[in-house]
Amino acid sequence: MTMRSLNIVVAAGLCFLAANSTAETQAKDGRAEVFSYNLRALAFVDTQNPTHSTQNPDNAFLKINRYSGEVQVRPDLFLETPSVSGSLKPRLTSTRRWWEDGAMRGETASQNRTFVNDWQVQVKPHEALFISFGKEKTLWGPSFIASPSNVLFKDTERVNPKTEVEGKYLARLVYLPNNALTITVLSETKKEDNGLSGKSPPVRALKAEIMGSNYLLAAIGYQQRRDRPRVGSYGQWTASDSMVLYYDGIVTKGTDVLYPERDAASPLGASFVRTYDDSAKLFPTITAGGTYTFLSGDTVSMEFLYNRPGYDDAMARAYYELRGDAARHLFDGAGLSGLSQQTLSEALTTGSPFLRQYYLMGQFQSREIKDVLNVILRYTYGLEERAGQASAILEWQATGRLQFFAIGSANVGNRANTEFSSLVGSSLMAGIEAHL
Amino acid sequence: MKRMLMIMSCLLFLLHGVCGFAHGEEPSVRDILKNADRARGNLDGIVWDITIATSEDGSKEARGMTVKVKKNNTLAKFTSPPAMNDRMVLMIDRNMWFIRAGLKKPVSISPRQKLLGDAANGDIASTNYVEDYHATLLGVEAVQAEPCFVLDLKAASKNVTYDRIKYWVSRERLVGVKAEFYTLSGKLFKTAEFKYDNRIKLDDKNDVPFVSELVIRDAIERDKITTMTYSNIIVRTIPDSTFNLNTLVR
Repeated sequence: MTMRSLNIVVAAGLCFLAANSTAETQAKDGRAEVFSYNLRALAFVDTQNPTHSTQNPDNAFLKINRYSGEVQVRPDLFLETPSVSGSLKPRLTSTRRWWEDGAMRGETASQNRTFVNDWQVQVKPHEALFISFGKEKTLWGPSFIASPSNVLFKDTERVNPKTEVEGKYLARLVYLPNNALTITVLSETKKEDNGLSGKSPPVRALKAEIMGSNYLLAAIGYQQRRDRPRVGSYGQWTASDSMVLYYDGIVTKGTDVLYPERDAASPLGASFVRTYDDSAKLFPTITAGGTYTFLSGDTVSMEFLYNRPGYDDAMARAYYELRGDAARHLFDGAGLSGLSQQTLSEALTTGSPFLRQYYLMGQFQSREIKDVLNVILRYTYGLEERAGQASAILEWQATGRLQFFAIGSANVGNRANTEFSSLVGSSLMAGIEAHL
Repeated sequence: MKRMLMIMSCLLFLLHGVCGFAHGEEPSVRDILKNADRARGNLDGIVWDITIATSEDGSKEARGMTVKVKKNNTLAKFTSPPAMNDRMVLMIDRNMWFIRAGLKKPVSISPRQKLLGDAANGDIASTNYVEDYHATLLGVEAVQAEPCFVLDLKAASKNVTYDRIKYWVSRERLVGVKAEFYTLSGKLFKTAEFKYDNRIKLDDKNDVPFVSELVIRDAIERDKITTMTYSNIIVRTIPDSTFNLNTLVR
């Protein structure tokens, strides 16, 4: 059975279950809604300036477009009964792209896509037991720049709140023995394509979450066939009415991260190697931060990230050297070009959430300015490269149904070969979101 | 005679149970707050609709939400305007999250964070002043000709929405009718007035008043008014799992 037909079967199942439980629901709660939905349409334009970096020489490796325009229709359908709940989120997108830089200059392309971004069916066989299956997004943790404790979903959806992360096929069991403790067992039900090294075995996880009157603590243990032990944790503490402190981290035994190493056999003189693949060393990645809300309602957040698997100064130098060599040979004859391409792919996805080890993030958020405007200003700074990225998110609620938005980012540091300016120097996305 | 006295004592006790506090008998500060909290949602399970409207400099905005409350836990789903009906605020005691259907990762927020106008997240939750504040009875004052107990509430911990509240509770109805909210430095920053035109049935016998309107005025910008209107109140059992991030389908 294909995934598409499975989706249809699940949707039909949801309807059947809903029809059977409608009477029961309405009897218990005079105004319960069994079905509900949101229907949103987005139209936006996006412009980005590809940098002349060694990661993407002459824009020939990543072929980043300069402009794009997109229309999206996003219906969210929900079912809620006392024993079964579910969601189905089909998406229709139409995209047009224009290239102005490098090898692709003058090219255009269009794409129309229909897909189900995520769906979920959750049954409640017992008051304290929930079993769900679907193409789910299971994001957790309080941090902004990364969610290290979540190996399933790296994206925190906070860099650009208008883009959606696509779900993964997951089976989940949630047990609530009491009000304070939640135990979740989850497993991917499909092997994941991880690009270069083929398909990874499904990730399985056990998560225990303890909720106190003003704190939340969670621990996550991961199991993946032929992979290293990993333990994650996150927590938050509402220290006062105005302050929330939090952390999110993971520790792994050894690491999958690729490191640049001298390699006499390679024409490039070095190659990327999983240096600590079988190591017994512990590699923690942790974020810690806090938010403070002023009496006016404005909020300031600060977050620190320590990424042990990231590169120190010597490794970073070797990394940029190797990347530079690969870039220089990308346009050479067949043999070396292929190796360069592979090296640039590895340089792009080293396996570490961030390239280096120390980062700081500051954020200012002002919501409901004159009851219609939300502003988020954020700056992420790499302490070792002394370069960062500034971004701004503006949302203006023009009417009850229409919202205009603009999301911009620009790199600060004025060098082409820093982590933040490896791909794009600046970008701006502007559009309108309609709630129908 | 002894038997008569016992019967009369029992009758008085029963009368107290049915009618509340017997005429002439003043309730304790704790009882005053407990009753006032109950009229503002501190129950085992209640669902209500809240409309928050603001007016400032001639401009008006409104938000609607359906709120499920169980003791200190609250789940508020925005219902209007349409652009916001994919948003939720979940409060588990003092832990709070903002959730958008499109974004799966809940955002941790503080109780002080603004909801609309002068209404903070903490304002849509039920009140639990009896546990959250140390109360002192300052005296009795009339508010719009209604005699009220005047209570001085000081935060019992740092985790409450307001550091100090001066709270006027109707002597007869035992519901809060007026409040002044102060900062840690003792500065007045907003005032509130309450109406209780709703009634809820707690069991077959008791029919008690329930909050119907809360008007918040900014202490500095006096024309900045936020009105919270409560309607469609249903008392019912709500499972604890309603307030769990892990089981919330969105």
